[in-house]
Amino acid sequence: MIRKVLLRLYPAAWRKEYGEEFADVLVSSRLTVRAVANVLWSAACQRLRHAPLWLLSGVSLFLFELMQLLLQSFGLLSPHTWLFAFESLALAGTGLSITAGRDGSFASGLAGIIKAGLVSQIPDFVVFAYLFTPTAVSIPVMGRHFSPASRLEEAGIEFVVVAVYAALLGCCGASCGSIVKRLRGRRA
Amino acid sequence: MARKLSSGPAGDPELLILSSLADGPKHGYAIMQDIATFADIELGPGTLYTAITRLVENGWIEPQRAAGRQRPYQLTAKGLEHLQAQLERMRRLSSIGLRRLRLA
Repeated sequence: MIRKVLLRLYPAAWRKEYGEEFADVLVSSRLTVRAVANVLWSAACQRLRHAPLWLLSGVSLFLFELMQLLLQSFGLLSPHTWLFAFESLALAGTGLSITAGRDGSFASGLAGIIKAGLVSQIPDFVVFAYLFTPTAVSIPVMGRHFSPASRLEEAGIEFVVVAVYAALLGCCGASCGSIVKRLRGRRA
Repeated sequence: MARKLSSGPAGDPELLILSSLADGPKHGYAIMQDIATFADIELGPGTLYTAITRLVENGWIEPQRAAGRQRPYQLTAKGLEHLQAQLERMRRLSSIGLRRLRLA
């Protein structure tokens, strides 16, 4: 049972190639705590290697956003334009890389930026979800005061701004990626 | 009792697997046991297959036809060349180090 669970932790593409023989090695080996930890670490590494670029970028930016939220909520960091600029550049770079990649296209680059952007904004979505609970109180986040009284207005503005911004950023990143791809094609 | 994997060139899983395959094809579990015997190092199943995946991707080893659930791997010409270069480098380093130790 535990061996089956351990095998399922690996990505499907990896299991297709190595699954059967790896299962055989797991059956032949003694499953000590160290061996299980070793397999867990290896499965995490394989998951990371097989993860799409938008997910890696989205999770990295999610952690960055979460760190900002926490530090700013405790007054340890003030909101800076460069933090926002960094996130924007990272997202545009993600779209550019996806578009300019081997199987990339303008549409996949644009979709990649939007998906990465959505994942990175999860901390903000959580704040808004909290504001819509019956017992919510006003909270200071990222230099702004979010209160349940103005939650609809705040959430509406936030989502419209994020959607427009992501679309613009997506178009820029994917366009740059298309240009890079064309230039590369001409050189080849 | 085999030791757990140690850091340093002699504990590099990829080099250990290439060395194990130097005398002929072996499947995953046989590689693990061989390394435990000749290097006294116990490779975890995860470490073994992470390294095998990388070696196959680099074209240093290749799978042979599967025998049941087990699939043996063999060194490629590129892998043999890489292994020889790495071992030669280690031999040079160890001979210099040992010579200097004797001089100290």
